[in-house]
Amino acid sequence: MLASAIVVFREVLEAALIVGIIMAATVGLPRRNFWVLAGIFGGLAGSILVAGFADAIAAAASGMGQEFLNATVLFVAVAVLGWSIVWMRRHGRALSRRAKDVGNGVAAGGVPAYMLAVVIGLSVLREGAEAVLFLYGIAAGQGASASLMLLGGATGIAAGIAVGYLIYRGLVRVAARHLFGVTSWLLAFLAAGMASQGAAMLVAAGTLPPIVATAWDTSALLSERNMLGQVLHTLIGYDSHPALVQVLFYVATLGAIVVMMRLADNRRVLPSAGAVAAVILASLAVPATVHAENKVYSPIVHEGEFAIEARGDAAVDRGDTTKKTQTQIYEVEYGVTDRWQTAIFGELRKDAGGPLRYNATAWENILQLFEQGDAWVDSGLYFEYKRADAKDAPDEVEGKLLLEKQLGQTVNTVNFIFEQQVGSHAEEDTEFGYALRTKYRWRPYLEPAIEAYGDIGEISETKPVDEQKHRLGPVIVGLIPVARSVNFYYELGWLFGLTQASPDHSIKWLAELEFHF
Amino acid sequence: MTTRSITVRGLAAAFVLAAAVLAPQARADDDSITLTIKDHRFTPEVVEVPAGKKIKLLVRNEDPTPEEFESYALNREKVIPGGATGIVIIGPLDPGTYEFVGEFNIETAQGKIVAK
Repeated sequence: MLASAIVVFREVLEAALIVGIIMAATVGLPRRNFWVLAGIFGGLAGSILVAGFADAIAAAASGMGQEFLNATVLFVAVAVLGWSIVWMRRHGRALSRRAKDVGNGVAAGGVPAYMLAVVIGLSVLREGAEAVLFLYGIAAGQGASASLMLLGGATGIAAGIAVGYLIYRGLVRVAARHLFGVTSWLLAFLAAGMASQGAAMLVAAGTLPPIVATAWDTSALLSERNMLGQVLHTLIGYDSHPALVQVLFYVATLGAIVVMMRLADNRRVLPSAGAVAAVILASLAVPATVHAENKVYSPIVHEGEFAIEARGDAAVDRGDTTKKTQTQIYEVEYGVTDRWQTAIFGELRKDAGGPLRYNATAWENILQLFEQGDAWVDSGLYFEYKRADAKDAPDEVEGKLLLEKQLGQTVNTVNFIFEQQVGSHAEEDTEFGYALRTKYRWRPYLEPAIEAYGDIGEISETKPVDEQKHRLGPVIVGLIPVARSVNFYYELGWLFGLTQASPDHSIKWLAELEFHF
Repeated sequence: MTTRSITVRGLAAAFVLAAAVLAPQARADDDSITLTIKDHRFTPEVVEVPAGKKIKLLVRNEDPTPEEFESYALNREKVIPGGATGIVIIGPLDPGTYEFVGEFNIETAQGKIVAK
């Protein structure tokens, strides 16, 4: 009896935790209880259905039906959770105001409440199906022990619900004041954990490579089999020996949700502060410049190399806030052939005095022209199309000529940069800039280098030197193997401004994980 | 409009010039050497090449799995799919020993190039 109580308790607890957190996060949402109950009962009905077709599902997709079903349920839940978090973030203030003023403004919350029912339904479905199967298996058995075990099952359900309820009460009380901040983080971790489990299911089904089968193993320290481990597993997706691909799904999901949360926060501020709009308009009126380049591109591409890259550039001038700008870029790259690498990146930018905001999405391509080492200097072409996020800002087309020459232990790289705005409010002229690097190949993990970046202005009418931007400084780069076929690549540098228009000091950084399949 | 057409013409001229400068000069005396990968091992494991000359390595992967020819000393890395042949151009090298590995099977796939 105790054994069956524990088995059922585990399954119920997971669902109850999720329901508890979601309920805590939605205090004050009109008709919340109705939708939560709808989710629970919908999920239970689904569980019974799934249990009924258990054999057929298990046999589907060459014996991988169970994994695919689980993965689908998990990923749908992640998507809905992510969407809900962003929605709550955007309407959070209105919600909490309404919570204090019960009975007011009932109409607004219908759609997201419905979505929450979907999340709850899916969570209950996933955990419930296993509990139902287990209990059904007992009930189908015979004898007095079966009824005893069913009693155990019922105890497990009750205990699971009780713990879920306690967590809900605790959350509401402890976090009452900061409810929206705290609970949206809880939900973000919950979603990331689900994405990681979904990835694990796809690895089990053989459709996703684990990349590294065991990224780490902390099962001796904290196993998911013990109570704390299991609670953490449900709450933040703790896994004692995850595959690397699970870790990547986790990080990517969490990152995506956090960025969306930030964006939702900013959007909430925008209409209330017309000043922000004025700043953006003013920055459009300032003559356009080649935007702070912060990466020197090599013409050499690598077939089959997949990379996730984050990089940025921040002016650190003390006092002078007019130059306090920042750029962050998040990029996914792939070497399609041994001559062509393609990439997509998102760019966040902070203009002087403004907030950090999503600026543009871009598609980037590098064409390596000849076999490395064949010509006297290696060369490549770079093409980028950058779509501005703001409606009234122009898009940009960027072309670069990439040259690289190895001389002894040094590798010398030159990028000539041409940038043309297109679309509404576009500058007519092409802007010209450069990026240079000389690096010394000391050790793979540490190569000292000097980099320089410049922005000359329009080709037909270059700016006076004072208005040009030129930056120069020391940089270290290196490659550190993390696991078989996985490398970590970094760049870290400090750039000094050489002209009036350049920031006096800026930091450039780059971190990249490279995978070879 | 005029500035743009000047820009376009300038760019076109630059590309023609660049093509002439950047293209590899075909030379009859390029040496090519075949390196075979089988059972995640290189044959030969020691490749002797003349120093001071450009060498074309034809890396033939006879395994069904892909391999990456990698050498930090030579500053080269190249993925060669299973059953395919990849070209790696090296040199002119100073006399010395340059190690390379098959990055996907680093325990067995090891070799060196000796330039004399």
